[in-house]
Amino acid sequence: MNNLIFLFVIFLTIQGFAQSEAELYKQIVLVCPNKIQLLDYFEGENLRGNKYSKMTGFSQLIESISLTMPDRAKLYQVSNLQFLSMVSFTQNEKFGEVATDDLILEAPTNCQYQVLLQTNFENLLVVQKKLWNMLNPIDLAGAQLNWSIAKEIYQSDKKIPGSSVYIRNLNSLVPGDNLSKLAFQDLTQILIAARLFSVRKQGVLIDLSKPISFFDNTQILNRAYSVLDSKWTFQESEGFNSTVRLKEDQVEFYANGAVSSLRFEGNMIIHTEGGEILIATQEPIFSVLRNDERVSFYSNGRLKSGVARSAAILETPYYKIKVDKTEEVWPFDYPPKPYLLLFSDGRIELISNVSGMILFQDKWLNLVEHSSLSWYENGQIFSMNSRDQFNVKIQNKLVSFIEHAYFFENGQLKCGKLNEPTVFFTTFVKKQLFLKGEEVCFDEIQNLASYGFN
Amino acid sequence: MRPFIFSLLLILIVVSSFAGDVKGNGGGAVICSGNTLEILDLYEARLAGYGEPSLGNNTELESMMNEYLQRLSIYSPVRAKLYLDWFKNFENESIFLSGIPIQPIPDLGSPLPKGCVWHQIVNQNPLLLPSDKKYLIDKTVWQKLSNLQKVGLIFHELIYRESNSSTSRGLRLLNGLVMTDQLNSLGLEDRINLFSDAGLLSFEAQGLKFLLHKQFKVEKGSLLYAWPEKGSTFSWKGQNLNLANEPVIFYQNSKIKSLPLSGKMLLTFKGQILEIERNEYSLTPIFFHPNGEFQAGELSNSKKWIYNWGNLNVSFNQIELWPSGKIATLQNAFGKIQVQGKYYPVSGSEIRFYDNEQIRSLYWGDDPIINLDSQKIYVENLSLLTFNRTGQIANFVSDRPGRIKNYRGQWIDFAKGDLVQLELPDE
Repeated sequence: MNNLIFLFVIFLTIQGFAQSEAELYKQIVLVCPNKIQLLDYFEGENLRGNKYSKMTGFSQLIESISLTMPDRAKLYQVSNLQFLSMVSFTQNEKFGEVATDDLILEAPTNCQYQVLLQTNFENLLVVQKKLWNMLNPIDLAGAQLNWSIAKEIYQSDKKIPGSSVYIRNLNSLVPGDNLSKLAFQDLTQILIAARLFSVRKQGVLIDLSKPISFFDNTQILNRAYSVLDSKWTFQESEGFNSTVRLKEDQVEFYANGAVSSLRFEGNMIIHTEGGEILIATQEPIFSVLRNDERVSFYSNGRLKSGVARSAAILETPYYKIKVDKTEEVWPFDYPPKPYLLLFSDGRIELISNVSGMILFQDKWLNLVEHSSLSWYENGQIFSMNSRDQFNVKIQNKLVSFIEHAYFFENGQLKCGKLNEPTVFFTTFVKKQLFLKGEEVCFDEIQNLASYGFN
Repeated sequence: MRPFIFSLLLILIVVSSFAGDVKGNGGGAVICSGNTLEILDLYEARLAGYGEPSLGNNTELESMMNEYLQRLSIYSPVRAKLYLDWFKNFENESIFLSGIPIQPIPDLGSPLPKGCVWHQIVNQNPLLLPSDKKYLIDKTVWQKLSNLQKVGLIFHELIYRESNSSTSRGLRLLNGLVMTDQLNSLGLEDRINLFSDAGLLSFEAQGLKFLLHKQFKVEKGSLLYAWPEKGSTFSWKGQNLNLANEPVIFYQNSKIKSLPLSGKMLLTFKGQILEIERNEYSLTPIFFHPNGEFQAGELSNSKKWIYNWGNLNVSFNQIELWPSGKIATLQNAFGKIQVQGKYYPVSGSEIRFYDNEQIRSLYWGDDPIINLDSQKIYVENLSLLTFNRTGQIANFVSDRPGRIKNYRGQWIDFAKGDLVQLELPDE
């Protein structure tokens, strides 16, 4: 029993020593008779076949990062100022032990690994002066960048990185165009391995700690979670931008990389031919309604659909309508939300929950509250829904319809629900009476095609 | 107290031994004083008494690879096919390093003899290599390996590629046993454990690939049940039946007793092709007889199936057959049945049959009166009506009191609700 406790104490002591040794983050250099090189680039050359230019400086490394990760590039620029203000030098040539379990390659014959730098990221950053002075510009810059990467991990993990293998791996990819050549899936895996859990794609800050899916058999991003409260700017067109804060939810992407749909806090301003509309998403009462609450986009970047959240007046020579603001009502979503559906060129395809006036068959037609309208791409009305009656010209007379009517692309009535008993000409019986509430449909030359109660 | 401290020590040691795993894993060789190079898998197999490795007389790499895969394919044909593809691509997926040794990854698990050293030859960590590369190889040592050792090392890497284990100890044993041709000496249960210890996710047995992390049971050298791998198919009479994520159950003779069908299965019956398909939320599997013939299953609900045979014309949605392929049971049958010359309605009954296709029993409904020669019988609604092998009514539950002669000519008096036995049905 005593022996076991003794063993246990010895073991804990060893562990204790191991931890204090690991409390500092170290950077390693390979020292050979004729050269000295940062371990990151020695591995990059041999494991990945990367080529490095000796004269590459820190600003060039930042430039490379900014091509794929602009936020991170800005962060590292700031971190580097901290590096420069914290760094102190030591003449001690026996400066820390190199941990072999953190190495991939052994030092070649006549070469050895030495510790270049030790840091706790808070108040200690010591560099071995002799080695530092022997390094090429790229190795100096690489050491600074390695520190910035490790510092980002330290800040999110709240502890010193236990291994630098994947930090070196990422650092080795920065010089030149190696990073921008990586497929997005490879980049995410490299970042995750290094314990960096965010990256921006199409302006969306993606949370790499959550599941990411790619299109089948490709490395093209399909779905990923956005970081809660991260900013995203919708570029509607030149000069028209809206910045919103994303919710912690899945963002969908098209195969061409464009954002397909997402959810956000705040309002997004959309410019239509009739004026501005504010689009928003809000937390649905039931999760099954979530898809209704997403804002979706075309692969060309234009808005496809969304829900208007504030009253707006839209005015064109053909309509003057008010988009009615509605609040979600438990348990059913009634009255209907003001859905907005746009064509890929930005014109309105459908808008619901509106009231106002519309120029219809050469007359201004009044629309009561909670009406909806939709159009063909050629500008003709596709459908009209209204709780009030409205008159449509068919078979050379004005007929009163209610609730809904659909039209052909040439403007002729296709189907509608009768508001009062009406007589129409039919092919077989010359005149036939149809009742109130009956759905009647016509062909393109105004012959009655079908009828009946739905 | 003692077990507690000991367990704590063990946990700490295990945690410590995983610490270096971020580098990946890989294979290596033992180099002893005579400069002989032997990969660890073979060194350990020899030490454990499994004998010398051999992959046939032909020392060409490809010939030895084929011999290895041949041995593996007896017990794991799908895996052998996968490894063949991986083996062929091995060189393309490798980076060969000259003059720079690979840092050892401490994963030996057993002490080396004096005078011997460990040399890492391969590191497998795709995250550290370009996207089309998986293996980092020390070319200097690789070139010194014999073809036999190379084949062994490559298969070590291929097994590790499939394995989800952070250590290679289990897979070294698997590799060593294939190389020394000892896989045959293992029973099914030991073989499954071997694959499991190697960190592999699945094993193959009795024609299917099963998940190792789910429950399975082996009894008397035969697999009794196991969960199939996602996307598994079972070949039956020229059809590939897709399996859902539920257990497959076997008879002791290794034939499938039941399987979780996903999608459709076609069954030829009385000249019509029935579509066997489980309802959306059904957990009832498809059953087979020990001779491999279909036994029972649900039918696709999207069609109406009609059984028109002898004295029966009904639609149904579940079917059971005898091992001979003859009808055994129809479930939820609607239609009409002829009893002694007259048709009666059937509504949602289970109809059971003898193996000579005569009706054995059904639940009676709708028309309470059956004309039996000169006698009328009143049958209780929804009661079980049974027949003998020649088609005569054997038993019925009477809906009213009465008196009737049985087939032996004896009078039977009965009350309402009595089971009236005209003849005991044949078993």
